[in-house]
Amino acid sequence: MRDFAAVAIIIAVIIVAFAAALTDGYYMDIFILTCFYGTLAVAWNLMAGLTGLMSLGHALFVGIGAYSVAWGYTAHQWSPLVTWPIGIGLSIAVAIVIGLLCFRYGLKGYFFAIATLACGEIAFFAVSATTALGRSDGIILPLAKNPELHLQFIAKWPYGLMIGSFLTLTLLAGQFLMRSRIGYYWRSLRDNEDAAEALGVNAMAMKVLSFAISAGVASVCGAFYAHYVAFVDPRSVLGVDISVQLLVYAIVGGMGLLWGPLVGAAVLVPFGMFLRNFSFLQGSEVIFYAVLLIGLALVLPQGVSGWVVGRIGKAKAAAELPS
Amino acid sequence: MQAVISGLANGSIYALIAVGLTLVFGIMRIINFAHGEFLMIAMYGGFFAWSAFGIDPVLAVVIVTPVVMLIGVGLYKGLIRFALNVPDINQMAVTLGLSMLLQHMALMMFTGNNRLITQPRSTASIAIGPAIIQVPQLIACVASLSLLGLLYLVLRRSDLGLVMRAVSQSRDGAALSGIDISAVYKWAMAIGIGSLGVAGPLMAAILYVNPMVGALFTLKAFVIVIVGGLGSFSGVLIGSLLVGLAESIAAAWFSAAISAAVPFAILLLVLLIRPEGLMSARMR
Repeated sequence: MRDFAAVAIIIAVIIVAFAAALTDGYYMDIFILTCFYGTLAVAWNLMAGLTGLMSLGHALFVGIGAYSVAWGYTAHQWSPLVTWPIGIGLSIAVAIVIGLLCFRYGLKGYFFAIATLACGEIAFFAVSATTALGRSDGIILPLAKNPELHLQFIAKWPYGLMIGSFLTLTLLAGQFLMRSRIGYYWRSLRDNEDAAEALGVNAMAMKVLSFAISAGVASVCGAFYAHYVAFVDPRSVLGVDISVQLLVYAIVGGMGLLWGPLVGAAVLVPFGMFLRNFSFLQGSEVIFYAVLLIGLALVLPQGVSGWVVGRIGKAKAAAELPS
Repeated sequence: MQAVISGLANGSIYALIAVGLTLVFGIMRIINFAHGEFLMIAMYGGFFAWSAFGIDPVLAVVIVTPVVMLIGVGLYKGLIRFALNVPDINQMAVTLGLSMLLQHMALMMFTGNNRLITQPRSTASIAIGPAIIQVPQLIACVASLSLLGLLYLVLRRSDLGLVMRAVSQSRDGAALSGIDISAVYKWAMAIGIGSLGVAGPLMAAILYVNPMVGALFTLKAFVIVIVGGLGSFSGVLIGSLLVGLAESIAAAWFSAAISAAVPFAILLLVLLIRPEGLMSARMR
């Protein structure tokens, strides 16, 4: 129950933040980006933190989602009702194929990370060379005749509502999975794959499942991004930068808990936007991230969330001890 | 033919970059995502030695290499030493963070302008059969192959090489036999990063230097190291020639973007068919 309590508190915070962001377009923008990266980071952590599979290729799935929407809309005027399922389905299929191939040959740790990185880079260069997908110039999504049907809004709050509710859904579903049999299988694979397999856990199926779910969520984020920004190009949705950013949030927030990376995103995204207000600090936000990343990776290996929860646990244990 | 010659020339330069990465990984079991950034620093070193003091890139190698070696030792003492005992993912975070840090510091200090060493011999070229090779490329190629030969001798014939091979086989075993692990790691970093000091100035005469140049080479070096087999010396040579060749042939037949994707396609193929690499002797 304790875990659900933590998730309930986080969801309450999301709702309050959304209400507060309604006052100003700038705050709403921050809220939306935080939720966007937060959802991605939670999806990433489902694999990395809970199943023990580090991916450096999640940009690939964001890109598939974003390009499905952008291409389907500009080339065929397809509505999101068509393009979203295409994006999600394609992402899941790609994840299953990559997963089956990688896990069949027992790629783990660094090797799996670099294999996924390579997949992302191939997609990046392939899209940059494909004329139908706008090459490296990207695709601009023009205004539709009936904008609402194509999820085009003038106000920002509908976007905030969309991504905020999606984040909430992801958290709830993730928490449910963690409590289910599958969640325990995942963690057993992370902690000791050989032992788990010996006890009858189907490692291959469980790892592929984790990868597919994570990829599906990531592609929804990508599809949302295409609607929100109305512009996609290889750099912004397929670049290594996105994959690396997720790692940053996870390291800062902590990977042991499903929602750990969300904490990282909730701290770093607004702070990065804030630093961008000062023109003399141009580019310095990355330097700040980098120093923070190095420092936390060495000093607080369990991240901020792990540290705080550990502290609370210790305090409780101390309080429960008869004096 | 032209594609083959320039592919082989590029490949031998890649080998020089990748050998440092594989050395560090083989001995310390740490993947340095900031490897290319040190190449970038060495390239800037070569460029400024030329633009400020008029030092020829070939001479600049003699100055830049010791400096970069010292940076390698400093990096070990100041950072990597602490990262050896944390989980893989944290190690990745540390070196990725370092790579971001160096890139953006270079962007602030040197701006994003492209810079290139241009000398009278830059445009000169030598004909090899039906193909031509440019002089700066030839110099880098020769330097790379001779340095690889030298490193091979050091690893095979010297006491330091023996100790390094011992550590890479079994860290604990080597420590028990009285080998000072920390000193070996220091040397591994010095040589691994130092080899970039040779590559940097020579490459600044071939390729534009900008703060982002390193990232490209980090990825290529990864590909080469995994294709060749982690920690394998001959694997590096074969891997880099393969990647160099495939790239330039793809560029000749298709487009530049396709050619950029080719190394990663090779990587995937190798990972799937022979994850341990082509020359998986595990040992140098």
